[in-house]
Amino acid sequence: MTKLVGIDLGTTFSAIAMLNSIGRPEIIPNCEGERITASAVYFDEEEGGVRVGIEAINSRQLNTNRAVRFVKRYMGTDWTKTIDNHNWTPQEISSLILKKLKQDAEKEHGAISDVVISVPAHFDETRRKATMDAGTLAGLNVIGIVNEPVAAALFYAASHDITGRVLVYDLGGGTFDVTILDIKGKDMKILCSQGDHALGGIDFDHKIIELFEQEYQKQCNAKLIQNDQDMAKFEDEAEDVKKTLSRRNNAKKILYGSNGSARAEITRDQFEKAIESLIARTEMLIDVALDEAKSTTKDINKILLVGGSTRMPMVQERLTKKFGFAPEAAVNVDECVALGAAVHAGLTMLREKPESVPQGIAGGLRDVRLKDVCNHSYGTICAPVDEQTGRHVVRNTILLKKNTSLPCSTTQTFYTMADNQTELQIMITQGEDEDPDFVNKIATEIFELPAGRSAGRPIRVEYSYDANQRMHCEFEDQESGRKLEVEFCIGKDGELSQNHVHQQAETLQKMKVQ
Amino acid sequence: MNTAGIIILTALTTAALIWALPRLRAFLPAFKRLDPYHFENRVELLGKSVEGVDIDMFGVSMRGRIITPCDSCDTNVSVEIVDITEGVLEPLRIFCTQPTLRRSEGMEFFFQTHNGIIPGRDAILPQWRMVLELGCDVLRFPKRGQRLLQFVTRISQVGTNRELAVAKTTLNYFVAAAEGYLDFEKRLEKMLASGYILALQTAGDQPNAIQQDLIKNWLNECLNHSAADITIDIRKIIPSETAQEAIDKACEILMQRADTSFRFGLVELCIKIAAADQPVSRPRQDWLKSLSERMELPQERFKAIFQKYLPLEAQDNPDPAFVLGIDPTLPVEESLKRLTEEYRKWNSRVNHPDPKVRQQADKMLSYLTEVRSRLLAETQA
Repeated sequence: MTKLVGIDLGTTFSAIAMLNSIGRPEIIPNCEGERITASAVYFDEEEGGVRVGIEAINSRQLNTNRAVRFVKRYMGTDWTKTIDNHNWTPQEISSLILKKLKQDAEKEHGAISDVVISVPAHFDETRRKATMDAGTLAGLNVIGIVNEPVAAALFYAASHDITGRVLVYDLGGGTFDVTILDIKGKDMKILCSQGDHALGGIDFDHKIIELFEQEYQKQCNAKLIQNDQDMAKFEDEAEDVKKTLSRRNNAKKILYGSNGSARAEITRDQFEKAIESLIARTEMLIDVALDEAKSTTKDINKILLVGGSTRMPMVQERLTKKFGFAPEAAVNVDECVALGAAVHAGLTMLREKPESVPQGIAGGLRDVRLKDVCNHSYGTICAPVDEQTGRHVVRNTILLKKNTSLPCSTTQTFYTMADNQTELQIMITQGEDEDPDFVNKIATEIFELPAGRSAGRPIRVEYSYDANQRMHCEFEDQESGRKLEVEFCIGKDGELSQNHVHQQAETLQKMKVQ
Repeated sequence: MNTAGIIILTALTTAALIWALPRLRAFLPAFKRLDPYHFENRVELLGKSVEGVDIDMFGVSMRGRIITPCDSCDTNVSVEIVDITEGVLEPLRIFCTQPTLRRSEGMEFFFQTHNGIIPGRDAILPQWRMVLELGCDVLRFPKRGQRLLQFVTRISQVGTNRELAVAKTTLNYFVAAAEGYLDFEKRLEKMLASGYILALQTAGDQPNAIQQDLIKNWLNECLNHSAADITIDIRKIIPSETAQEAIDKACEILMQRADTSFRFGLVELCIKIAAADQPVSRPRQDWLKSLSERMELPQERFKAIFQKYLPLEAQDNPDPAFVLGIDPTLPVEESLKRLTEEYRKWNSRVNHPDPKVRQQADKMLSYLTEVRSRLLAETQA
């Protein structure tokens, strides 16, 4: 029987869920019996295997050089970690986490392959592809990628009876997303998503580490953190303190440093003052999202909290103050993304291979509808005359605007700039900026044009984006009828070549993951 | 001389005259005029509407006798134009923006096309035949106003390039649309001198190597658009007693003579010059701001290039009002709105592939929230 699985590959914790026989998602606990697994990896020196999860966290203080945490923050970048002469990429390390989730789930449910993995809504194309590659390297068939807040809302709407405009506040271990959507029963229409890639639990932990550092300096007149090992140790202690401060007004810790020990007491007030700028950042992002959704705080009917960091009282208080009502804590903030990703896997399979979806699941998901939006703006580079300055400026012109409802399509006409212009460098961009230096160029092509013509020949450009996140770009020289077509499958075509994936997967298969 | 001799002599003389006369006519203008079929050209001023815009067109035609060295002679026809308003002895060049209507080297207008094979050695083109229809918008004249243009139409042999027929005609044409290149050069000289003063003022007393290169490159870039070389002699072009007077005069000249594009480019240059000597002090930041105001540039565009070339770390004691466009006199609501706009802009840059841009975006986001918190705290207080 086809197993439809959703995975929340988080910065600090990950979770895996599967649709049961009636189409309801259920979390699959790991072999330690926990419903979420720490996204931490430790390369065991003695046994030669890899530890993932709580064991990796416990081991990492022994040798921080062999441990990796928060790898999600590096997805899609050229960051690597060298261990035993191998340069581990973020994709490879993430694949080890996914392998652990897969392995543990298979022990109970048998082989699984078709999965949907969640990503932060603001993840760009490179990061989405890197996530896809991590799944492939772990031996999974990644049938789709879903935005974390969308997944949470999907689970929320599928399991609750609700109507109105909902704001999903997703403050996770490493990233922050805001999504605004309209829900009517099981019908969901995303209005907009906004995200901050470097705002989450670990940033709050670092604020506590700063408080530790100040306290130790005051009492022992020395630096508390002197190396990576100290940092790993105090990161874990700071996380403890943060969690305590969510339940109590103060937390006490003995800080053992190079100049003896110091007793630190951190109050909730102190902590909240320290994280004020980070909370302000979340508020600004809410304002941007509201603006984007052409809404005000009064238009929001419900706030759905997602992510472990939303347990902080300050978050809930500030949201209550801003919106005039308390946010909803109706779903488990750590699990709802994985559960929603499993629902998304069901919907994707129903759309693409309905015959392979068991009847019970198909029936359970029958009424669920999701209307998504473009996650980013897509445009092209051109050189129009700037009205304000009167000069030809090289500019990124946005054709498909972020948060446009899918499917969508747009056409614009551009003109050649030079006489006898025989080629046109086509650049497809992703990003909101007008300045080409600040956008990602996701494709570059050369479009050949007929010779001997004067400047100002019209080139028609059409971008279209379908519900399966497939983007089609067409450039047409209107006079000659010549065309150039480019097609992307957003979040579906991995960055790595098949050969490369095969080779890497083989190497990774040999790694023993515990 | 007997009758036969007379007949033979008459026949030979007639044959010689038949052979020689046209040739003489072709080579001697005096004779040429005598020839009712002499080679001539004419230019008509035509109007044409291209995509709704009316454009002046020159229609160049030719007719008359063409003498070739052989039968079935393959020929080309060419058209040249010069400005002879200041006398035929001082012709001024006419440039063309369209590369296909230029000589292989240089920007001067020159048109040549294949004319075809002329069957006989003495051929006559009886009717006017259009050689070229030329839009005046692609031509760059030396000056604006009434100009006397000379059109030269030439038939030449393919291969040897030997001239077979040539005709000249003139046309009075009023150049209205584009500024003449000689006018521009004169104006450019003053503009460049003014820009030079402001660039040096930005660099300070001793411009470093990067700053010197920036100024040199800017001058070269500006001069490439012109046909002549200009040596900048500031004192001669803009005489002034004090530095402040020179700055004031430079600003005045630029406002009178330079378009927004030039002024924007100059302010961009000054920002780059400032960025080449970091950290940029507050007085220098203020100087750049006042310069952009004096150049009457759109402040949003100025802010965008300022943020681009002078990231926070390049500024000494950055001024939030300046960096983020938050004026202390603005109502809090309006300031918060602007901060949200800035946040939207920088938040979209945090995913950029270039780590430098990502770092800059991260810093700006932190700075933005800091400013926002401060603003809200002040309001609450």
